[in-house]
Parts: sequence; structure tokens; C-alpha cells
Amino acid sequence: MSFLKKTEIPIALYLFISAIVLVEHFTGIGSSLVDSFNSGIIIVWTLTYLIGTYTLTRHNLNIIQRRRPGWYYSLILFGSAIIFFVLGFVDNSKYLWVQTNVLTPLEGAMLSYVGMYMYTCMFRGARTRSLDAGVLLLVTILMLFYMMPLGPAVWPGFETIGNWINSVPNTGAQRAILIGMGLGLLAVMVRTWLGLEKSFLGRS
Amino acid sequence: MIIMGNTMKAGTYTDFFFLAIALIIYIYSIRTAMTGRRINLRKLATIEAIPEAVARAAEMGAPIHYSTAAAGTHTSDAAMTIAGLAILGEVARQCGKFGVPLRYSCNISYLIPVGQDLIKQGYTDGGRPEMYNDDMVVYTTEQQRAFMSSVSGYLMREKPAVNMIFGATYWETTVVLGAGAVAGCMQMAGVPRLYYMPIAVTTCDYTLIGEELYAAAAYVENVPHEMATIQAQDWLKAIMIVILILGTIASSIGSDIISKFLGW
Repeated sequence: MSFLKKTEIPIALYLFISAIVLVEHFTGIGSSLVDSFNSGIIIVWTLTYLIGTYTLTRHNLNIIQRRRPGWYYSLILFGSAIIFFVLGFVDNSKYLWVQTNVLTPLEGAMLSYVGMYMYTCMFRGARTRSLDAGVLLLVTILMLFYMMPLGPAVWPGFETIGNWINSVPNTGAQRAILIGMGLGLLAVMVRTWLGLEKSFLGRS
Repeated sequence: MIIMGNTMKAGTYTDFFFLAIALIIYIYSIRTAMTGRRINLRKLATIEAIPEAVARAAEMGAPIHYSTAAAGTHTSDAAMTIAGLAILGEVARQCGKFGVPLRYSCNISYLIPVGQDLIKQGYTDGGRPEMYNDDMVVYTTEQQRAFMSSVSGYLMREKPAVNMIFGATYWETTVVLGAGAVAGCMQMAGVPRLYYMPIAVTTCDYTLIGEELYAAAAYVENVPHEMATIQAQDWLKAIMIVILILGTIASSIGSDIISKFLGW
């Protein structure tokens, strides 16, 4: 089975599939094959959930067994996962009830919490650590006054400055970054095609 | 195009032309580098600072937290995630060298074995294979919100010395970097997406923005043929600048020749 660990096989597969996708992009030939590849990706990805389930189970069981700090959270997580899993097979109506009345509100609460947490974190964490950050802060203040109704009412110049920032340096910088990113993507693709980039196979 | 005849889709001729040019430049550059020609590159401060960050963690006796954000290699985010994984290998090697524990949080299941392999090899290369254990990779389920709460909880509880996030960053970046800043971590980030660059700049000590992340993936390897891809990228950028200048001149004199060529 050692041949399966060779990096040449996944790189060859990557090259083969990339070639088909590129031919389809430029000519439209083989679109059904590309659709099959896309479906295949979803299937393989779903199968890999098993690895995640195993890792999560092992990690949490380890915490519970060794009574590490906060072990009861692991117990709640592990117990909930088992109950939810079993309900999915045993009683579909109860499974849907848990999903609608427990999981969905919890997710909503989590999203609201994370949103609020994000704002407070940014308020406490963001600092002008460099000249770049200082310029950014200055531009943010100017844009703040430009966006809020009070700003242009206090001084009409905020509107002129805000419009100029939006249409000149902002658009220019965004386009430059996007072009650079496109070229960077291409560089990673070429490195992967040539077998120079192996990090996604677990090799550095 | 001549060979393909009429089979080419309308509007893709320019794409094909640029792809062909880019491939020729990349391959030429790599072949030239392999002959032994030295390539001088501007230093990437963020990558150069990795040993310093790991040494800081060693002095504090605290771990390092690493994440490739909430994306994997099964979507168009693949290249960003691959770049993040390349940097993870280097961080693991430095952690092995300085004897610092590393935690890699991922929320894509197939990245678990990839991360474990990279970290294991990094610790081995760094001279401390005995420090490695499989629990260094923590899976936080496929949910982005679960990932955010898991990582921010970890950062606030454990207070690692360094918090790093390199990859296809979405809005979890804000939470992860915000929590890291509040926890007092030294922070490093590589954010290719425009929306999250301001957050990274204001909360991090070192930042890679846009294409720098891709360049860093090659930079950490520090071998001539990897460096050659960065050089080729610069040549392509020069071609783009020439096209931009020509386009500006052409549109200023009322000609649409360049825009027609780009939409060919």
C-alpha cells in the first residue's frame, strides 16, 4: 500500500482533473464530466466527516476521562451529539423537533453573541500599531463622517473627501490587490501542477 | 486558438492567451532558477518574524495557536488554504526547534490528517519529534460559528503567546483576531480578502495582505525554484501594468482597442 502514500499519484490526479476543467472552461467540452467531478467532491468531502467525527470523539473523550478543566462541556457536547445522532435513526419527528426548537434558536443566539462579541473585541483590540494602521484609522474617521447624515451637514467637505476616497484610492487599491491575487492564485496552481507545492498532501 | 478552431467559447480567447503567457513565464523562470541563478527577493517581514514569535512563546512558556480559517481545498478557496498550510509547516518546524506546543484549529475534516502530517514532520525537522501528538490538531466541526466560538473560547481561556491565522479568511477572522487582541497575544495574519485587511492591520503585529500570502507559501520553502515563481509573478505584474497604461492612453484618446482585446 506504500504506493498510495506517494505524492505523484494525487499530483497526477490534480493535473488530470485541472486539465479537464480548463478545457471545459475554454471550449465547453466535457461539461457533464466536470459536473460529475463537482458532485464527486461533495461525496468525498462528506465521507471525510468520519475523520472529523473520530477526531472530535477522541478529543472530547480524552478530556472527560482525564477530568481536564471544563470536562463537563465535553460531556454535554458528546451526549448531545449521541442523542441527536440516535434520534435521526429512531424518531424523525423528534429529530426535527430538536432541530427546530433547540438547534436553530441556539445557532441564532450564537450568531447574535458572536456579532456583539466581534464589535466589543474590535473596540478593545484594534490599535494603531503602525503607520498603516494610523492611515487606516484616519480614513475610517473621514468615511464615518461621510457616511453619517450629520457629517456633510456639519461640513460639506466630508462629502467631497468621502467621494474621492471611494472612487480614487479605494477603487485603485482594490483593483491592484485583485490583480495581484489573481496572479498569486495562478502561481499556486502552477506550483501544484509542477509538484512543487505539496503542503496540501501533508508534506512540506 | 488556430488548432481549436471554432470550439473556443466566445470571450475566453484573452483568458486563454494570458494563461498561456503566464505558464510560459512561470516554466521559463523555474527552469532558469534550476540552473543555479540566484534570485533576490524583498524580505517578507511577517515570515521573517515567525522565529521571533516562536521564541517569544518559548520564553513565556505558552503555546502557539494556528488556523487556516474556515475554508478548505474543495472550493475556489483552495489556493489560499494551500498557502496557509505551507506556512503551518514552517511554524511547526520552528515550534519543534524551540520546543513550543502548537495548536492547529481546523473546521474542515479532511484537513485533520493533512495538518497532523505537516505538524509531525515540522516537529521532526525541528529536532523534537517526541513533542508531537495528534491532539495538536483540533477539529471544530464544519460550522463557521462553531469554529469561531471554539477558537475565541480557547484564546480567552488558554491565552497563547501567539495567534496566527493564514488562509481563506472569512468573517471568523474578525472574531479570532479580536479575541486574540483582547487575550494579549502577539498576532500574525495572512488575509487575501479585501474586506478583512483593515481588521488584520489594526489587530495584528505582522500582516500579509493579498498576494503576499501566496508569495509567502513559496518564500517559506526558500528554494530557488519556489522563489522563481514569485519572480515570474512580478514579470506578469509588469505586463499587467503595461496593459493598464496602454488602456488608459487608449481610452483617453477615444480608442476602445484595449477593452475590445480584454473582452475578446
